[in-house]
Amino acid sequence: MGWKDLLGFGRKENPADKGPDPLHDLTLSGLQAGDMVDFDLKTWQVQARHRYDWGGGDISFEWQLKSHDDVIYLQKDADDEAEWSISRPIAFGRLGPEIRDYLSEHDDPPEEIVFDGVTYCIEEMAGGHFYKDDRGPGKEFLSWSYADDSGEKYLSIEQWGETEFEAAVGGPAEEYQFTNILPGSH
Amino acid sequence: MSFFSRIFRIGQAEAHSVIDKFEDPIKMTEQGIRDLKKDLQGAMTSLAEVKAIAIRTRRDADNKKKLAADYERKAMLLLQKAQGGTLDMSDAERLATEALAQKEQVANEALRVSQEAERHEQMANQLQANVNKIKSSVSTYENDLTTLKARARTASSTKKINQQLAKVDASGTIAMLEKMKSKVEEDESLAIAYADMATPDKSIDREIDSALQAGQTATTSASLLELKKKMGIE
Repeated sequence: MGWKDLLGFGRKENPADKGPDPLHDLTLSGLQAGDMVDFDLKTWQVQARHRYDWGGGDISFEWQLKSHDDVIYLQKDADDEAEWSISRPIAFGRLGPEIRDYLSEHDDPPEEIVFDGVTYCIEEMAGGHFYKDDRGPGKEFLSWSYADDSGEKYLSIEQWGETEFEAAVGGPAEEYQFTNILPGSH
Repeated sequence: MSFFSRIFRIGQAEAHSVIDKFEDPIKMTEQGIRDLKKDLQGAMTSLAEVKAIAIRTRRDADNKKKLAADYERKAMLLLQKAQGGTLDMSDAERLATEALAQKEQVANEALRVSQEAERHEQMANQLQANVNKIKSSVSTYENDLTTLKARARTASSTKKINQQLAKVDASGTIAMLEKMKSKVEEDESLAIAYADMATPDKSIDREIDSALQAGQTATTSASLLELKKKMGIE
């Protein structure tokens, strides 16, 4: 060790020693559990970050955001460019008993669903693996995505196992709508 | 100046040069920005904590409000049951009073926690404003530094170019060009001289060739003979 090393002149900065750059590294895509983000006049805490593997290298991420009185899911679908959307889980039963009946009869939900006065038409059906907290063995699921005529409202149905169904409604979101990202204690 | 004092002066100059290097304004600004970012990171972590507390407190207040409403609903249910005859009225009233007392207590608690949540939210807003201010400053400093770095690089390059240009002696260059010009002229003259020296041989060869060719051009010779005959030249 030379005198430069002793004085610290020759020491190279290890990027791993540095924390995230508070100006540039805190991005929506980089949100982790514990982080905070402002959206829709509320502060949300990231509860979890899940991964969906749709096969063929098609991956999407989902962040569970919780405020004091609400829970929303932020999704990022990496197509040609990142597409963001927000959804809120709803009780599957709210879609009406006819949807469950239709599913048990046809193994698929109907092409069209009317919910809260909005007509949603099916856009795509897909299946994949869900990785809770981006870890562990993937859980198989099926998903049906619907959108209204304007494309501003989404509805999705997911099937987990033989009889377990989940539904959510939402719409597209833009990255600029999310501000003041803060690092949580990871 | 004595030898030793000169040595000392050289040493002094070297020391100043080293200090100047240490005090590189770009490096110092970079360090300053790094320090600011570190402070910003700390402020953001604190802000995240305050926001987390605010969310938790607000959730707590909401839950307490719901609990208070639940106690009131229970008190009403007890009275309804008593009215329906499924519960003794005195028991129902006693329990309903208890439930209302609990409701009152929880509602007060909810109010207190709600006020606390509000305070945390206000503090979070204030901290957020400060964090935004630091962020904005750091961002401005970073942009300024990038511009300054570019300007410093340009200035350094310009300085080097100008130094090089200043070192070039204009009259020297002209003299060099003149020298080169005369050398070229000299070479050209030499080339012509060599060409002249080579010309006689070439002329003889050309003469022989044309003499040989002359016999082959019958038409021209016949015409010449005819003309000579006409003129009476043998």
